[in-house]
Amino acid sequence: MTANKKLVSRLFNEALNERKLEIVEELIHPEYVNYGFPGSAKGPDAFKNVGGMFINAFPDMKITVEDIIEEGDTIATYGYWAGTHKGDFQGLNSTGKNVKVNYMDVWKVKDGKLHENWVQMDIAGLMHQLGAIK
Amino acid sequence: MTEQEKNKKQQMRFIDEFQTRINEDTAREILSDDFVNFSGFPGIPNDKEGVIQTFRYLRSAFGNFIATTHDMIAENNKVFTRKSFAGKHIGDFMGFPATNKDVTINVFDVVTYKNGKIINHRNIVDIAGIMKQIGVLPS
Repeated sequence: MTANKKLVSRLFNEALNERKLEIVEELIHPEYVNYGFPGSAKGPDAFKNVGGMFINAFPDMKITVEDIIEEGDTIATYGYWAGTHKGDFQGLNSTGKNVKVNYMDVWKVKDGKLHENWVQMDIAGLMHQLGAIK
Repeated sequence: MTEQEKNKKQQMRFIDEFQTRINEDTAREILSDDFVNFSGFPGIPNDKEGVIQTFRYLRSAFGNFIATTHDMIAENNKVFTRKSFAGKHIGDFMGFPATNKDVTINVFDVVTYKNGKIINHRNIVDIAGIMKQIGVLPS
């Protein structure tokens, strides 16, 4: 696996799936920006906050990366995450429902760390599975 | 030209000639006859003709439909694209009548090429983002 792919793979498998959020600083650039996050939060803490929000809402959350595509300083991955809705998620109280949500994302690497990030997940599908929309 | 460069060039043609300029012959040329859509639109077949039907439907819902490519990378036989479609909501979309609002639809997709043709496709469309822009979901 290339160095860049390893960054993303460790972020999903170690930091998020094994709940080792303390390694996020090793992988995420100090000027990291996610163009989908609310507000103007940047850097490793912004990633940890969003990751933590999902883990609080879905404590058994597990991400499965199905493939990683790399060219130059850009990496894209796709797969899905699954978990049980046990905590508040975006104002929705726990439903106890099991969900499976497809995602795709893109990362740009700078100085050997993950610098820019765009994520799409099937939020409409998630809300549908939680019963929040028809 | 590497295989990956050729595939990206084909993918750019698919986006420009078919998705933006509505040339359905380009779609029929570039999509393999045994093409499979892993992310088919509900109610539309997941085959080659289904892709053409999907874009006819999208154009009936969104006028002045134009694709913009923000990122495109290729590795092995896959091409990933981050793009957005802009259009005006002029017709029914998933049961929601026209609002005449300008909408931007963010799409990420991955296609697999074989011998210069697309054999499968998967994507994530920001449907929730569309619903917010047309006022169906709170923003």
